[in-house]
Amino acid sequence: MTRIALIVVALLALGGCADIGAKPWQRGVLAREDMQVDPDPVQTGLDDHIYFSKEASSGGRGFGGGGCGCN
Amino acid sequence: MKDKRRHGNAALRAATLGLLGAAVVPAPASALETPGEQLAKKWEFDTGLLVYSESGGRVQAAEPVLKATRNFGDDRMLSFKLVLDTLTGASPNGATPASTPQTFTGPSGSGSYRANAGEMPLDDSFKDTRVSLSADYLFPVGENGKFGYGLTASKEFDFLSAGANARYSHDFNQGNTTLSAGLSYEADEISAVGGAPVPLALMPAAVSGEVENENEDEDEGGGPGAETKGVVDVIVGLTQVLDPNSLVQFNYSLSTSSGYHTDPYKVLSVVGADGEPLRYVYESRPDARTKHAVFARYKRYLFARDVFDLSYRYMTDDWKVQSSTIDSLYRWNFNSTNYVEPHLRWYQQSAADFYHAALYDGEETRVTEASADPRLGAFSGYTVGLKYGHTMQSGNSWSARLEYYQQTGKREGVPEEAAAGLSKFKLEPDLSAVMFTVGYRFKW
Amino acid sequence: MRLITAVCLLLAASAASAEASPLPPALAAYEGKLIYLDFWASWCGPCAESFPWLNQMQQKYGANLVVVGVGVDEDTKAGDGFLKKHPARFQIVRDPDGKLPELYGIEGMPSAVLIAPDGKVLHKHSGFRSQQIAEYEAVIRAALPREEASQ
Repeated sequence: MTRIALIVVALLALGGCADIGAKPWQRGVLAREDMQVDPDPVQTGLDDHIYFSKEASSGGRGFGGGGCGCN
Repeated sequence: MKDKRRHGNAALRAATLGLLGAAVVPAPASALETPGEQLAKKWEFDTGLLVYSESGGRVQAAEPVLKATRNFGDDRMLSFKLVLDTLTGASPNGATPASTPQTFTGPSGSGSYRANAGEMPLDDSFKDTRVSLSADYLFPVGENGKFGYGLTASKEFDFLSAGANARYSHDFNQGNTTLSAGLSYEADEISAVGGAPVPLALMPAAVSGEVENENEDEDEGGGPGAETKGVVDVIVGLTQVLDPNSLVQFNYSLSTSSGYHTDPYKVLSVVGADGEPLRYVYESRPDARTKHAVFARYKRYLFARDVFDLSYRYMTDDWKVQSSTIDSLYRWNFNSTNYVEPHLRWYQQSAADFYHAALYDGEETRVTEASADPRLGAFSGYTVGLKYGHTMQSGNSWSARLEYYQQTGKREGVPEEAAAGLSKFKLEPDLSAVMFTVGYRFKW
Repeated sequence: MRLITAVCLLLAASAASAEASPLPPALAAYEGKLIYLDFWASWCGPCAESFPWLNQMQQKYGANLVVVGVGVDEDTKAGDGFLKKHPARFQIVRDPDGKLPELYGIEGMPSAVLIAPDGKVLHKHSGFRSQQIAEYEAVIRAALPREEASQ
């Protein structure tokens, strides 16, 4: 358990590397629908339901981030 | 740049000249749109239909989905989702095959079902329809935040569920880093037909249509009454843009549930040393579960055209189930309006510590928890699929996806005393399913 | 005499170039004007929402204000498509290499930079929210010559 927590904290610290990324005007590719974290939420919902019914694990996938970064 | 001689298109002419660097005073416009009069369509509908079919007369399901999102401008979005789920067919009831035909009682004596000699017993005694509704509102907070909250409800004939959720995400580093957190609560009520059986109690013997019931009264929803369960889920995540063409995402999620986790229709076979069933008992699961999962995803734009997506999830819980999921997608945008997307998913899980393929005579009085539900067993599974998508002139799009899911069970939880006797049967049910989904997305 | 004229002309010329506009070459056509520089792209939703308002600003303050929309699409065809769907009744400059946003230190999309006639940056903001257009307009009015602003 502590191992997982440490990994997560280390990964969160990665976010502090301010040089990684794209300039605000270079987000054309990231704004593409197929580059979104979840391009097809309806399909994802259907899949989640199938695997929830047939397996012992569920969820875990996240949300937010990426995209055009507008506003 | 073509100079389209569209009637009165002063703007386009000015734009063309702007390209050449010449200063042009734009012609007076005839009609101005105020910011309020947006011509954009404000509703977006996302529809889908899944048809799911397992081989061997097992589960068949059809699931239509309708999602409607209203964009109020300035990143404020209200969405509604309706899901219908119709299920028919049979699924393993947890009992093991036997050398002679077996008969099982349906819930509340609503008939019985049989398994032939050597066959994995399948319970086909119920058909089910589920309706699920949810509503969600998302809006910006300050310059860099987004907050969303929602409600969900779902109903099957023996199951009712209601939930609420909230989530917040914050952008840093000019939108390259996003931290998000989500919290959800769900309350479930299970009103098993005939009431929830006493854990590990004997399944009443079926005698040619007549049922001898050794359980308590079997009024509709009687017995111990409806059972309940509460689930709390927390998720925290980080999304990081690596460069203009790629990003990664990491999440950690925690899920704790307490209450009734047992499947009231599933049983275990209590076998003798010869592996043949002596009796059947209802299963019993713990009344609490805590799951942890970590998830990582990588997305990359390739060849100035395609998208590659790879993700991994590791889950562990206090039922001693551990699982790994690897999911990969490659979207091949072979032209600007069409794509083909192969999909490959691999899954593996270990059995819960109270998973038993069967119990040995007498064991049922010594254990407090036991289940032979294949969902809690050890198995590996893979999914292969292909999706095709097309975007139309109007901007609306449709897609079709065909997938094949195969689960291969691992022999586990076999009581030593009966191992020799049971070795003649295949105890781990394999599963093969074909899944076909169509989707259509349009603005209005 | 001719030598003195030549030297005077030379000095005048060099003096003129010393006070040369700090505006980049792409914006040289708008030198000496109050410029509302707006950065847009085909992939930016709020940019589509902002165009009608930009059209309105150009129409209203046309005598003293030049609205210049800088399109930063790397794929210029995508930028063309956006302009067809969202007509601009103001100046358009295309900058697929991102030189102008880099120069003005743009921090989000869309972004607006208000540049005084002498080339000085008066105001900068990121994002376009239709609920804030009164504030955006107030910034423009504050920079206008007094007679116009009081109308």
